[in-house]
Amino acid sequence: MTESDDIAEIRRAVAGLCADFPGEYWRDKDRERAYPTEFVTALTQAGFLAALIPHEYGGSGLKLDAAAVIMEEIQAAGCNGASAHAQMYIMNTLLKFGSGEQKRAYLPGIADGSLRLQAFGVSEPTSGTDTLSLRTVAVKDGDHYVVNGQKIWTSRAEHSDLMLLLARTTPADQAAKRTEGLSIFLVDMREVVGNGMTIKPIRTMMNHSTTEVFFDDMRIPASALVGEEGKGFRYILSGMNAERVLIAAECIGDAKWFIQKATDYAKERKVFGRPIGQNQGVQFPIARCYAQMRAAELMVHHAAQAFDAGGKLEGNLGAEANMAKLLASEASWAAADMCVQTHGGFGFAEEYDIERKFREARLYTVAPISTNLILSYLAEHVLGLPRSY
Amino acid sequence: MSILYDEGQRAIASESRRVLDARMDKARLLALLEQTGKYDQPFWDTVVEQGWTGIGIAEDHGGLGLGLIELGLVAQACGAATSGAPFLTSGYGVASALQGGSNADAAALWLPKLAAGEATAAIAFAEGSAPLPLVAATPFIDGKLSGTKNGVAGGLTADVALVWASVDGQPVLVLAELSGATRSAVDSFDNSRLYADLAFAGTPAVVIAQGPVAHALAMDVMARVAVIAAHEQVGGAEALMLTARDYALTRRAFGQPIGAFQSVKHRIAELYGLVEIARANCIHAAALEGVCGISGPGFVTAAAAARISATEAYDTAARDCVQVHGGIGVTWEAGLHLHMRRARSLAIEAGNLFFWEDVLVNELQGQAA
Repeated sequence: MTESDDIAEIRRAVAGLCADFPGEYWRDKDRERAYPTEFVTALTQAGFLAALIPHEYGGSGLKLDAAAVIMEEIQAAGCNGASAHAQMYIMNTLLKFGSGEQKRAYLPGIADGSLRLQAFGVSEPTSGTDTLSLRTVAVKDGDHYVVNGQKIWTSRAEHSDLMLLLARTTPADQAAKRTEGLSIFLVDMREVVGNGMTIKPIRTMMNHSTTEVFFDDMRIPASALVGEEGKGFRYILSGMNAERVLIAAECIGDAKWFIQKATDYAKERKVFGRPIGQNQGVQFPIARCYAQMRAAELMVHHAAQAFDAGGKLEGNLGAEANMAKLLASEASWAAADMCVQTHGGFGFAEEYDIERKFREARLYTVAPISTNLILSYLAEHVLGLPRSY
Repeated sequence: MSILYDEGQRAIASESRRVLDARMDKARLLALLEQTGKYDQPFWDTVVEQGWTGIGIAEDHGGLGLGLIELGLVAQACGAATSGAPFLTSGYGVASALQGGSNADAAALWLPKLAAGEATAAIAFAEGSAPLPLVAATPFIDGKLSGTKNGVAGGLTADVALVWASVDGQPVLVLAELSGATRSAVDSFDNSRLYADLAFAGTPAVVIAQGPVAHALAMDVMARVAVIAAHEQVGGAEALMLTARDYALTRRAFGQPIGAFQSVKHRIAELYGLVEIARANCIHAAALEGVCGISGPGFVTAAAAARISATEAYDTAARDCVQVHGGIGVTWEAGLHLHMRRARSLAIEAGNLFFWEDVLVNELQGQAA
């Protein structure tokens, strides 16, 4: 597979930007649990986060397959795109299902970075992957909705102006179908934080700005509703496919970083009078990770191309995107483990950045959807096996 | 008890190995693969002549009054040699049911014959994918059996079978002479196991145990048979591990023995670990055996652990030994496929992995509560 010149140019440009944010920068942020504002600003100013927004709204109108390369390169350079990737994909739901008025009002600001749409309020304490059982409710009151409930694992809520929020508008027992009764709202957080919305940070094993968000009689204008009331679940599923492909691409970038790091070290580190990479016990695990990563990389591109074709390719887009995420996250985690093992004691030393990337890479077999749920999906919806949960 | 084998046990181990090494012949076993309904007569003659059929049977009934530890050592030797007939394990299972059951007449009639090797026995518990169904679909009414049991190891030529059946929805364990059943040979990838579909139509049978006691006894038989099968698997896995080691030491590539390559030698070292873990589980289970009756607490858990680890060891050794041998490993003459086949047939005969994993989970849940 030879890449087009455009893609190669994207890779060069992203790598150039990332060179200004070396390991030291990320180690400092990690130590202080600080948000990498400078990095996100640089990505925004270079226009990378507006990759998927069409030209007419001020974005670069790239395909998902090209946008995926941006995320991959960020990770392969040792940076952490989790701080900003949502700006790229959350708007997809707005783009596909929002009204013309909503798109004109928000997309240009999202494209130039003056509006940050980084928060996606879906998971709740009592409904993780079982989205349909969520309990946050939005009740119509004149020309407003009144929202009550709680979200958890809402990443970057403290660094976002807008939140895409999923809430129940019809009680589950009154909805026409099991998958109906949920609605999507584009919430202007600047107007409700401290006024019905409370954000509490959650500390995690890596520097990932995630939070809990509480809604207490939060009033939002009825115009915040995206698309039709009751169809929110279907709307977000479409957006989730893009999210999965982009995160899968990040995993590929991580795996490449780990493999490169391990390869360099195995060549240069000498024990028993020769490079440790001359031992099959050291070089084979690296080679195996490389093969695993390359296979996953093909799946990621395949899923991205299926997304770009808008369902016109054969197969089930949800399955392709999920499989890409599953395989890529397992490849990056295998590479992370291998990289620590190859480095011996040095793998644990902060200055090598491996332990930091190791902690960061661990997230993706769990989020944004866990491996088990992907396997359940494939078993049930692709293979026709009985539902197991 | 001591965790070391005593002198007598060590003698059983070395003698059984020596005899089988001297008398087994790979060419004979290979030829059996291509025939349905034949087993290795010289192997079985050796088993009988050595008195191994009497190991687990009380002296009152003509046996040697020994237990799972001794029989396990013999089974390891048989596993290393890919035993040429399935009766040592199944005969022991049926004998243990007769000794633990409530039918003294049947015990008096059959135990001496089984101990002397004059009769062979099979175990017919499984139905469909269930190694021991809760309620058997094999009715036993007025002393007569009907229904079918498929793929019974040894069923093609055994004289009697211990059958898991039901009477009025209650479990019952019965002993039936197979001369009264219709047997159809199953052509399998491991033909000396003598698999047969047994059809009963008013076949006379006698009750060994009935009601809840029958289930406990059947489970005890399953566990004992699993421990013997696990020993046999360990014997096979160890033989493969040693075969792989020997080949890695002699076969040269790129100017050195292939065993000098880490990817080869580490793989063999991992097999060593799997074999020793399984062996330790087998010894533990054998040491917990109850004597001539229903076993005590912990035995079923230990049997499940032995069975699971031995299945993994034998399967992995069969795969890796072929891999270490490269192309030669898949040839008919090299005979590694005898173990590959046996690893699979033993993996399903005495209750498959799913069954023993479920048993283990249930037993451990009981402990945690």
